Amino acid sequence: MANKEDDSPAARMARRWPQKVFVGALIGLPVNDDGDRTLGLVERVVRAPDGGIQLIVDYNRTFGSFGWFTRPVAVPIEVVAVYGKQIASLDMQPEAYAKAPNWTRGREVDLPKDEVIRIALTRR
Amino acid sequence: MQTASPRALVDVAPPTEPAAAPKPRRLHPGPVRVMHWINAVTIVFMILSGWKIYEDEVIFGWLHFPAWLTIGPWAQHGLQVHFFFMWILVINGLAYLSYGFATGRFRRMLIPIHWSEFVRTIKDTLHFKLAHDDPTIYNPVQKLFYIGVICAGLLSVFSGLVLWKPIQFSEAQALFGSFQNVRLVHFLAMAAIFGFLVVHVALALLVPKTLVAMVDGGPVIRPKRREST
Amino acid sequence: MTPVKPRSSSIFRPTGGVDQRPLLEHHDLVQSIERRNVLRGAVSLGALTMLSGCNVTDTPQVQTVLRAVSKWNDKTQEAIFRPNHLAPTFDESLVLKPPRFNAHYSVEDVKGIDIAQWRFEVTGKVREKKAWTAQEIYALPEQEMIIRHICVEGWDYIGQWSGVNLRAFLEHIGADTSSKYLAFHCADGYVECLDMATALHPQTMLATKYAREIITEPFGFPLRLRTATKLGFKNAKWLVAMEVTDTFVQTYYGNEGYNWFSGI
Repeated sequence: MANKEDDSPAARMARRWPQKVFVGALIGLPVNDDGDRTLGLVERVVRAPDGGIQLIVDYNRTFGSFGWFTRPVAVPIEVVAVYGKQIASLDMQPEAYAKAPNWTRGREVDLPKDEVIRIALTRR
Repeated sequence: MQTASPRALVDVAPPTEPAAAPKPRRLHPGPVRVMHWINAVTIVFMILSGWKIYEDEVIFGWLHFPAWLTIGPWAQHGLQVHFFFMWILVINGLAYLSYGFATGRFRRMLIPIHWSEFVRTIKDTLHFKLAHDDPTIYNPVQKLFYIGVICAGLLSVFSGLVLWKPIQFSEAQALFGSFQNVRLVHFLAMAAIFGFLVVHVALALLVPKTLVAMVDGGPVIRPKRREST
Repeated sequence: MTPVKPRSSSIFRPTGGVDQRPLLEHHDLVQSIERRNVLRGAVSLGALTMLSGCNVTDTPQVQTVLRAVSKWNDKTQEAIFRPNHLAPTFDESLVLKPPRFNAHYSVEDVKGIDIAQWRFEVTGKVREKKAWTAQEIYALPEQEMIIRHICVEGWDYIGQWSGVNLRAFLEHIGADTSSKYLAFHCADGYVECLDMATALHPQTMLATKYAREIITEPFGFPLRLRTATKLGFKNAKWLVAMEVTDTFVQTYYGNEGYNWFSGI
């Protein structure tokens, strides 16, 4: 478990008892803010050359849960946590989504659906 | 010399029988009024505590009930209140249904419903002709509303029981599909009751004599009359 | 560890927003806020006192009445409990991995267990009072089931648990199954009290695995109670002791006003 003084995203994620999850299980899940309002659905999961994993979320503040008028936003795996079939954007607030640029593929690769990664836990 | 039959032109009261005449029936007999107000209070508590329970895991991400509209600062208080009033709702509701069937009140007041009269009532309402000449007669829209809310009440109790005991009543739960579907049906039944409440209260306030009738019993029901328009 | 007694609108709620520092600075005060009412940025004390919800239910007199009715509901539920009626089971493809976490504190406060030191103390009306090690429990015959977990909050998921059937375990240790309750004590101070009828139900177990792998720390490693006929919070995690008794033991959530029997 990470030192409590370490406040980096990786340390925060480590304190949340990350669990194994299939990439395929994350695709299509809603990503919610602290009020359980959906920011968007997970479209794909990618890994950057430096090994960092990101969820690419089809984001729209109002219609995200329906998939309307969305644009892709990259969300690092370290800032989210899963609760059931929902994802909480714990350390990335709605304002950050609004300001984020549209994600375009650089050198990231899509992770296959049967790949197992780690994701933090949270409760509501 | 011909004399017109006394019944041909006007309604008349039947000749007084030598035996004691029955007490004139009022629109809302005592038991109905008591059960009505018990139900009114109970339904408010059931809905507001139910909204608190809903808030603990919302069904629709866009629908939250603000704290001032829900009962209890803590989630368990919502549950406590809900599981208290559910007894009153069911016992009072069963009493009301029994009374309605046994006394023939439902048969007298809620059926039949004719399509042409229904259409005419809708038109009248849209022209804001809300008051009835005779509040002892329900128009077709009213009949449908009251039948509808009784059905919604029955559905909310049935789905509520399945929500409370999805394993003990697993055979009933299977009718709904998933557990979340049971929640959804329970919520929709509540929404129907809530919709009824909004209209019911608004109309009672717009036609105050109906509200008064539910307190003092209302007008005497005239015997031997044809249903008017 | 004494559990922190939360004052948020739901026992299950975390007490504040994402940034942990205000939580640490204003720990007690923030504990009392309903999570969704936390203001972003500077948290003003004035705003914190605007507690929400009609508070009349929070008075002792009203609580006395409501809890008395809750006890009556316990009796009703015991009366309608079908001791051999099986909960529906499901296909493995529906199992949620990982399962959904919940506790009366945040996941960051979950403590790991030192498995070498861990014992499951069995006491009370049993022939064999004993402190079981994890290896001894793993060696017992294993039952597996795929059932629905339902939380009092309203969410549910399909889960897959393996472990020793509780009835078989009670018979193995010579427990007096005419006793009324099993009291469970947990590593984090949580307490649960199970009625014997539910303990003897065919789908009640002491679970060691989830989805065929050893249960991980947030979900109760190394041993948790798993029933098919109770709300989620009755399925105590991180068990360290079980007592077979006729004396009712007040539970953590019962103390908070949740219904004791909480059968589904």
